[in-house]
Amino acid sequence: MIWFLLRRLGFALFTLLVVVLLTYWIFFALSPDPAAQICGQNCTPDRIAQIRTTLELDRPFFPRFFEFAGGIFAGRTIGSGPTAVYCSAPCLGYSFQSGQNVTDMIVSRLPVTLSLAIGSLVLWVIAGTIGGVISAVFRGSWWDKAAMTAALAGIALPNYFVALLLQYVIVVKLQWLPFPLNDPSISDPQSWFFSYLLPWIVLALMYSATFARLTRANMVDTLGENYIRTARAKGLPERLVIGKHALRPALTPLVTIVGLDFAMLLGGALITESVFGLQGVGKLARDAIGTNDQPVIMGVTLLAATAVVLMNIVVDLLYAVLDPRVRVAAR
Amino acid sequence: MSGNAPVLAGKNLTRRFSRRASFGRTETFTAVDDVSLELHSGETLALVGESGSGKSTTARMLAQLITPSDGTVELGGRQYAGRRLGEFRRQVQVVFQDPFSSLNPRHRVEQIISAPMRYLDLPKPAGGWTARVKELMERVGLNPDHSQRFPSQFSGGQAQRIGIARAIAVEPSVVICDEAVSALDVSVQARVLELLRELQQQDHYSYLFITHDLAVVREIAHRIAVMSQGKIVETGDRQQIFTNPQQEYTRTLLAAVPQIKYQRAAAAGQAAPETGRT
Repeated sequence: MIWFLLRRLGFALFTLLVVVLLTYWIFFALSPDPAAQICGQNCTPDRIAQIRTTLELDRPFFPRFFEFAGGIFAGRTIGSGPTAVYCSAPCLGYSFQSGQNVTDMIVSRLPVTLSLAIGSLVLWVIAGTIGGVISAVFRGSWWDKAAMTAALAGIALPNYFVALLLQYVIVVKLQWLPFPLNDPSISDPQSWFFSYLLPWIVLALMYSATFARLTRANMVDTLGENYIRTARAKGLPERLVIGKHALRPALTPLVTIVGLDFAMLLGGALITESVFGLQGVGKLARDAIGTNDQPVIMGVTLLAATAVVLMNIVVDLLYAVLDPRVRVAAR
Repeated sequence: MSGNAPVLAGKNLTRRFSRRASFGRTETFTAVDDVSLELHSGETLALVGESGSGKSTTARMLAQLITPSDGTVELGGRQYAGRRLGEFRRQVQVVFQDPFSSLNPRHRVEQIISAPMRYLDLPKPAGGWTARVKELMERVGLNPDHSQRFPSQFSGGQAQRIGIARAIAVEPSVVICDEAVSALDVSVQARVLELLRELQQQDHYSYLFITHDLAVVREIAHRIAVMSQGKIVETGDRQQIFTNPQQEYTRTLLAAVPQIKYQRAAAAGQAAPETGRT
């Protein structure tokens, strides 16, 4: 088990290095010159050259890349002489736009993104499971049809549309919820909860729709298994037949999907955060893309990649917990 | 064997399946048509017939796994349905055909065998469930040390023994064996049948044996009911059915197994399965 974990972690590290290399290369080779952008309209070639030197854009690719990659793990000193700054690990450089430390920028946005991701995860797994299970158990019923139609709508409707619609109807028209804050803090739980409620619902609607449909499909399959008939024949009450024998194998494969969806959310919910004006990682990424702020884009990309790679490991470990046969095989 | 009141009886059992055909019409198919069966204490009744004759549907109605379209299932002269189904399951257990797919692959043997006892509210035995499970495993010829294994770690015959241990765990009066040995190879079949017979001699279970395999029937049945196209065409003692079948269909069914010299084997009475094969 330990070896398995170490092997996976080593592989994860390698994957992340490749991600860093590729994104770094893409921005190096393909993106418009950030120096010209910073310089603005009234610009002289001298000024551009000066900016390029300050941002170290004039240096060749590989030395820059190794310095950057090294900085992530060990920290690095940027610049030389009296203006040199030490950037401690994990160093992602400084924003071209604001001059802030990118790591600090991301860390300050994490509480919002985490609140958003965890809250909607809870909501979508609960709603998706309940919806899918009831649909599977009473398939063909009006509930099944209603839930699956709603799920289809949830998948089909773009979430900026749902977000705007809900915000308009529930907050502006009906005034059921207070106007959400841009930067809700968990230290004030009530306003935190109400500020996040709509974004949670919007994200959960989208993810739980897929989740409910997959739960239903898997559940219908497992309910047809012979051992379900055995469980009924040996006299288990129906709720145990569903809860103990049918639900578990139906949900196990979905762990992968939940894990990856959750990882994507950790990299920032770009659209939802923007619509609700939440200052999360997604908003940060969107703003950085708008201004071609390469270090910030790199940083967020790396965060998203790390989340995906780590969640993959978590998913594998969860599999072992959920399916006892995996544990036996690993032994 | 017979004469006294039946343990389990199906009265006028009918089961129709309907499916939607094109243009909104509904087609109805009668799988079982007005079947009455009586199973007496301590006897083995074999329900035989070709595929699609409705014998499995009948068995499932008798096990109350599906509800009859018409007719009733009575256990000791009473009907059990809805909330009292638990009491019915306490008395009537089922062993299914495919031992692997019938056992939850994610549950350990101990869980599988002890579940009916725990959920049908049997009093907890003095030694605890684990001891009781081990005792049951020993009774069906399994190594009790394997109680923490998963079904996939057993052979087909062993897995079916798990199914049997699970069925007899609640000490039922009736065990319905739905093609219980058809998925096993012949030598394993003989040993599982031997086990079932031993258990019957010790605890007087009544078996309802659903099978298409006449070698199995001759091995274990006291009485035989022959089904064809949803109806019972003939019922009788083993001896009588094998030596002197009254119905044309029964004769065809017996003749359809050319390798079996059923007359000689049946006359011998206790013939072992191998001796019937030439």
